Amino acid sequence: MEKEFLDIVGANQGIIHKVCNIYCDDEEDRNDLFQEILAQLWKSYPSFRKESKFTTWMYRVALNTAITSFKKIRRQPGFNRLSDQNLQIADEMSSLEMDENIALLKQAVSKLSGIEKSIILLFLENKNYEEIAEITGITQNYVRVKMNRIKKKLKLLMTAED
Amino acid sequence: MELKDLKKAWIRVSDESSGKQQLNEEQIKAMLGTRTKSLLEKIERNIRTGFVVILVIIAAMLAVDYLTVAPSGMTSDGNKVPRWLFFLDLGLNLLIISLFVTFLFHYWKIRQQCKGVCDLRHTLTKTIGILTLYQRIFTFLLAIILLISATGFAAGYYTSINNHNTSEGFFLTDLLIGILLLILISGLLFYLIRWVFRRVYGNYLRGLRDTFAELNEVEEGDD
Repeated sequence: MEKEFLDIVGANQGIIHKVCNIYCDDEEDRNDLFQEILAQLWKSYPSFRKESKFTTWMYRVALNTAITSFKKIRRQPGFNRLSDQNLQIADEMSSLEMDENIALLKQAVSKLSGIEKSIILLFLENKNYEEIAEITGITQNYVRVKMNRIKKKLKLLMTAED
Repeated sequence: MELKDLKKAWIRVSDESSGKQQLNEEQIKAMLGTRTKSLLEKIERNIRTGFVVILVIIAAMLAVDYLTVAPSGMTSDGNKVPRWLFFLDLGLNLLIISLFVTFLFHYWKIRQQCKGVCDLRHTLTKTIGILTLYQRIFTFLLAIILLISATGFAAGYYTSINNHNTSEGFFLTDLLIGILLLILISGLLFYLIRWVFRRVYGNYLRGLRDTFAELNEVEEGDD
């Protein structure tokens, strides 16, 4: 089972990195959260019943862990700064046209609350409302309502930053 | 910039970012091997230890009551245990046992909320429930200790009066000082426990409750 777990998690580890990047300020916190998510995945893997897609299940574990992470909440994640790495990526993209927009988006996303971050992350990762509802435990209709609010908030934040 | 474009930009930058952070199988394995228990796992372990400690205290109380005093109905110095003290003790034991069963049932209910991996809403309910229970168990332990002290004090006071070895005036002063001390110690310990818990977990619990409220706000606000 360990080999199977390592293979499947290794192939989908991008999900964990994305969750860590959106929720954590610095590298140390990102590493801690990565390890914590990994451990939760390993602990929960025997109960994965293949009723949902593996990636949906992985997002569920990763976001649950990130939202209930002790360190993260203690450090007020709703207002975390852009991580050095994110800034570095934005710098590297400076030759590209979308660099400014990406930086703005990241800045705006970093100002969202924990729940808003999970919903926008899932939306940006092309998850449909049904999957977002399955992961967060709220109904599809309310995901839609929440999504509209986040879009408005993001636009406002991005305009303000511009 | 439209959200459609943002999505494209996001996918591009996040894929690039996570691509740079990729770990190989050995690194993932090593991470799993060096991991320590999470806060919640530690709290759950402490709750289970708390249950065992409470169970031991209850067993010890029952053993003292029913193996030493109850069979003869006499205290160690030959005095007869009055009925009111016997009923007080019985009531206290019943209260502690029923509270213990309530806690166990509550813990079991929290654990049973959802099988496997819960959604975010259930995870938050579960985490908040476990933390709250943790705090209550501390208070419960304190209450048991104080109740035992109180009945011990009552029994001791009764025995002294019964033996008539001191003047009545002294008894009254003694009683008042005893009650005052008990109230003072109870209050201090209660506030100390509350203060320590709030200091260690206060912000965390508040954060979780805010997040849970935010998740519910969507449901309630748009009915």
